[in-house]
Amino acid sequence: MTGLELLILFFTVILVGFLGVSHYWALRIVPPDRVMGDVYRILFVHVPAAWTAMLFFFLSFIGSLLFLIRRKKGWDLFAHSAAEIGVVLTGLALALGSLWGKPVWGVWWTWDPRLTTTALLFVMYSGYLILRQLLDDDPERRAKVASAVGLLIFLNVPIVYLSVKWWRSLHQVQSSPETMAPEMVLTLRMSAFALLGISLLLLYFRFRLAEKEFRIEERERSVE
Amino acid sequence: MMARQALSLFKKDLLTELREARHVVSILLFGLLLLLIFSFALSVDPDLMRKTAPGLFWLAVLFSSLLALDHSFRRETEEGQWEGLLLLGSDPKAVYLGKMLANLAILIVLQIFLLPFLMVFFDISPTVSLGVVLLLGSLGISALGTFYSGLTASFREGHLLLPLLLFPMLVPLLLAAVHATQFALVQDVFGQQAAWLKLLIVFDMVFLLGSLLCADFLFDGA
Repeated sequence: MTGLELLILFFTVILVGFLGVSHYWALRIVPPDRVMGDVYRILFVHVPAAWTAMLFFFLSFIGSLLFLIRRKKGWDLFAHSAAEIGVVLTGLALALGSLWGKPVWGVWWTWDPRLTTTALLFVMYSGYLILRQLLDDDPERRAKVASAVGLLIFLNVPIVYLSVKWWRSLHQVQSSPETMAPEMVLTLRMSAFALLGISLLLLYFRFRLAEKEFRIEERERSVE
Repeated sequence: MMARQALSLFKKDLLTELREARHVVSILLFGLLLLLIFSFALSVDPDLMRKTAPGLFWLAVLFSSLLALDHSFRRETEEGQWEGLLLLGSDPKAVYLGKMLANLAILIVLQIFLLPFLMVFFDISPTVSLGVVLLLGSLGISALGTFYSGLTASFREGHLLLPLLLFPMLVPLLLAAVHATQFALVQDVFGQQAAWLKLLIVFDMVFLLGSLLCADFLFDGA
């Protein structure tokens, strides 16, 4: 094992442990909510997932942008890895939000700006991933086309948000740290950092994998 | 230079479309068919039909535009005209612009064709501001649609991928167009239409420029 691998292993163990602790905290230590009871505890996964997903879509956009400027394949692979994790996390955030929405809002789904934007992001980035799959035989073109599409998707995010916002608005205003019990804030922050750390690790692994896939593709082409 | 190339490509595309008029005619008929089918689907409540007219109209335009957009680059990819265009030293941006204008022209023809039927089926009367909405809406659809059509034309599954990539991107346009159309048809007491029109303009500008900038990445090596 090299030093870097040891370090990664160390971080993996620490972060998984941290996630475990913060979720134990979220389920056992923090008191139930005055209005929502225990249902609200889902927020300790839902909110970090949504935050991290948005961050990863932003990272994906940065990757696409830097690829178009610098033309280094690594940036495209980075954009791909980030988008993939972003899609998984958005799916998680949407599913959990829906589970929470039923008891609290009384509906599984509503056309609120943030919900709708998130759902559309999920669909748009899924399309981006499918596009990449279909362009498997031509990595150079795939990198260019996917980066262009990644860029356009990100340009669309504020427009989508605005349009849906004008259309209707229901999502409650985020609780600010002042309106939440201190234990809840602490637990939320812990869960958020734990998920962020784990997602960054995932990004690292996914990126390494993407690089290896790329090298295999290259070798296959040279054999042909 | 670029404008001239774009214009000549636009003319070439229009000419080929006119010579093969059956394609444009099928698009128009498909749009009309969609309006009819939507009306049947909502026939349980005639009131509902009138209320949903703007949405149904834009759905019909969106789905029929798919036929035009998917066809837009087929000749280039299937009949090997890419090489011709590239040998002529065409600027990818000019290719994009020319195709975009051709698609825009088809969409405008489609809407002019559909409008009387919309009036008859749904009992509405058009206004001047409706014309503006239709123009801005078609511009947005063709701006992004041409980009994605150029992107997907070279795939075998391209016709499947095109709506998958394009439709989610067009959601703000659809929302804005439907609302602006609604306000063009009913009394717009609070002047709400202006905001939606602005959104349409912003959408058109952003994606016309964005697609134009990205056009270079689309066509080289295609």
